[in-house]
Amino acid sequence: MTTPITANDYESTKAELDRLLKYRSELAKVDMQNLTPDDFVKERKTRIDNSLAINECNSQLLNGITAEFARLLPKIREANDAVDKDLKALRRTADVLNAISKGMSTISNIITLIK
Amino acid sequence: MNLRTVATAVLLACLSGCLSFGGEDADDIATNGADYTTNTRNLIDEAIRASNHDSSQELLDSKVRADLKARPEYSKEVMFKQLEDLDKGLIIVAGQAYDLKASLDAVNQYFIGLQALVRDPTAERNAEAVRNLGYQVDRLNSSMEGRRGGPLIGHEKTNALAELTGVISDQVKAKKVRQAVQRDAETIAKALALQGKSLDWAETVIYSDLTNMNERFYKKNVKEHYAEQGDNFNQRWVDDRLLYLEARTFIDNYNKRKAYRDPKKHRIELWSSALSMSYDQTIISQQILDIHALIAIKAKIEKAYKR
Repeated sequence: MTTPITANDYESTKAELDRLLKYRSELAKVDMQNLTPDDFVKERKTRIDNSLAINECNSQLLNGITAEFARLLPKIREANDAVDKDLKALRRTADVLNAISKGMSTISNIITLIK
Repeated sequence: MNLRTVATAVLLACLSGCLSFGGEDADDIATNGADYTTNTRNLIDEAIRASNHDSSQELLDSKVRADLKARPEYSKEVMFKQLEDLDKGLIIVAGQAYDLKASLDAVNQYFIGLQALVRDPTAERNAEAVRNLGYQVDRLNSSMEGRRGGPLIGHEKTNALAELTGVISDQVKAKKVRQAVQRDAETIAKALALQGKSLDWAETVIYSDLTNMNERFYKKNVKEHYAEQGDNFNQRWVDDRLLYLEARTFIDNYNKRKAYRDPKKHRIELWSSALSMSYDQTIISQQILDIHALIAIKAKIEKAYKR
């Protein structure tokens, strides 16, 4: 698992992604079909390299966020379990009362039968 | 057996807890939290689509000219490798997005659980149980005392006890909800801050795809048709130009909208305050609405571009 990026790394990687995406938009404005052959080759290579760099940046950012989430997940699961327990506790009172009611009903039936 | 004593003791067993305020705010937090998480999940999917689309369109724009195909830089082997490298990167990112969504599911589960807690019909359930118990106590007394025994508690008193049980059960539940929210506030606020980062990333990627798509659309459907002054320079051209201008205005002003929202620190504070029950989710929702607006315009442009 990759080491999660720090908050500063995150900000600088995000800024780099913004830059690369803006650069992609600038490159898109160039009319490739009217370039000289050498310029075409150069321009195309620049676009491909930029795309690869964008993928790398995206990967670093998502990896960083996912790694932070992975560290937080045990606590999130604990919170989920705790809320679940709270819900079960709320239901317990009625369960107890209903169990007693059922017991009393059984006794009443028995007494009626005996009589 | 002194049934009156037993009945009272059992009823008092559920009359615990202390005064606390009601769950409408908590229901808002739970519902909005679940919506926020679900929306983030969906927008991550949109961002992956946008990223793949942006990359593919760029390759199409860079189509190798016929006069250059013989060059070694454009041999089949080189082109295969190039595409493989690009695809590999995109697939890795999509896989990471998949892992991210799994984490969001855990957060979503929290809000759904909280919603269930807030909406649990505790009062009604306990009141009904008390009514039922009252009825059984009276019935048992009747069967023991025969015709001489009237009801031990009676219908009126049972109902009054049931209502009181309902009120106190609500208070007990509200206390549990408040305790749950405060107990989990720090963890959930951190999770939501991470969600915010995911949303920022998705927004950036979708915005880039829209910007580039709009420029392509302008070049092909507006600029070229205008310059040619041919059959394509018609009423449809008017519609396309209007669409381009609408999108361009939206794009150019988008960064102002983002600046107004002012994320990160404000978002963490906002959620922390929301989770401690002083609630205002306007700015968080605004980002989701803005991203949906980006996607809506993108869809219009995509449709017009493909005509």
